[in-house]
Amino acid sequence: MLCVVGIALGGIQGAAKRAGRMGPTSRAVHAVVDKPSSLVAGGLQGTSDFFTGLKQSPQLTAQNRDLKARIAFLEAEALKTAAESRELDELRALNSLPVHPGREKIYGDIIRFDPFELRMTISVGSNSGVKPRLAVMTPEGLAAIVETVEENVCQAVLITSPSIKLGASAVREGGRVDGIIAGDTPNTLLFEVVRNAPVEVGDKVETSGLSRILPGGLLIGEVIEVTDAPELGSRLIKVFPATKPALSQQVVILK
Amino acid sequence: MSPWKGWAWAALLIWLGVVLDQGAAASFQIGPGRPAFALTFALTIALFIRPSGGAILGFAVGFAAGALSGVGMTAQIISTAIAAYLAAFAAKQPAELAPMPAAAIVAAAVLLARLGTIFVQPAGGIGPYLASASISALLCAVISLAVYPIARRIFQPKEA
Repeated sequence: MLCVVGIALGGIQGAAKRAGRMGPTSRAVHAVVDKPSSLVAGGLQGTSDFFTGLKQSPQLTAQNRDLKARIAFLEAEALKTAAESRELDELRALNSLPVHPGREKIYGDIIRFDPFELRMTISVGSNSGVKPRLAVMTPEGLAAIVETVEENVCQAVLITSPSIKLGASAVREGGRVDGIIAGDTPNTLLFEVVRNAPVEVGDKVETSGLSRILPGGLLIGEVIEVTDAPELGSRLIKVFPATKPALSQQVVILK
Repeated sequence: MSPWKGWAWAALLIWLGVVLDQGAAASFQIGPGRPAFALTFALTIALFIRPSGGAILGFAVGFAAGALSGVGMTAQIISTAIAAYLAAFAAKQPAELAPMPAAAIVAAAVLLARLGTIFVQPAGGIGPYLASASISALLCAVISLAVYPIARRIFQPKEA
């Protein structure tokens, strides 16, 4: 009798299999067995992992320590690589700065930056040919003017310092307007030109070249505000500097 | 104990065995052989009941195994039903079997059940299949040594 039922059940299973289905008997048994069996399997795996962990704890601790050390080393390497990559990009950009006729580029590292004093110390000095009042460039434009020079080091004052006054020109299509630019706040410069001079927000401001020390055409910044000062007979123009020396590591001094 | 209570216990133990077969048997695998918990439980219980009852338990185990594997249900049902019937018959119920002979009967019945399905198993050579069946029979015998006292407590008729 049982054998006959078994044959019948096998027939049902075979028919379902041929039809590409699981069959009612298989589905029913799976329904009552699968969930508890997966719980049992999970419990056994957890127990096995627990005892494996106890047994191998000294090796796992050493391995963990080793991996932590490797991660720290790799993180340091990644930081170093990122810094080197940034430095390389900066050097490439500095290298692509145009060379003015009769001028020479002196590459240097910013070894100290004083945001409140608006000064920077650069790793090249008189031994490399650096002299006072030379232009200090970052890839974006003019950043500072060399003030004091030692044999292997020099100090430069940022162009945003009120102590710096330069001949500058607002440049736009169809002409240029010359004037004097000086530091105003740590983040802006004040460009003074004659009254009614055609200067508008967005105009580029660069060195005028009316000096034997600074070549013309070095980008200083961009006009962000124009105010008329009739009592002074001039226009006062706020300029946002093109450079961010706090973020730079390398500079070029134009000799 | 009432017959219904006995069948309920048997059903519970076989269900537990099927769950262990699916969830835990792989963890206890030795070489190519792994234990068959449900079959072991059914055969151990069969030692304490009549052969026809044993055949029903064997049928249930074969049905569950065939349903879960998805193939060869007929062969599994017939082989396990016959093996359990013979195990119950060999125990000469009611009898006071010692655990070791009981384990030997279980091992022999497992081997018989495995041999019964030899023609429907996936091809892998007769040698490996026999090795797997032998190791499985030994593992089932060991498990039956642990299950035997419980089965005796539940299924052995109380003396008047």
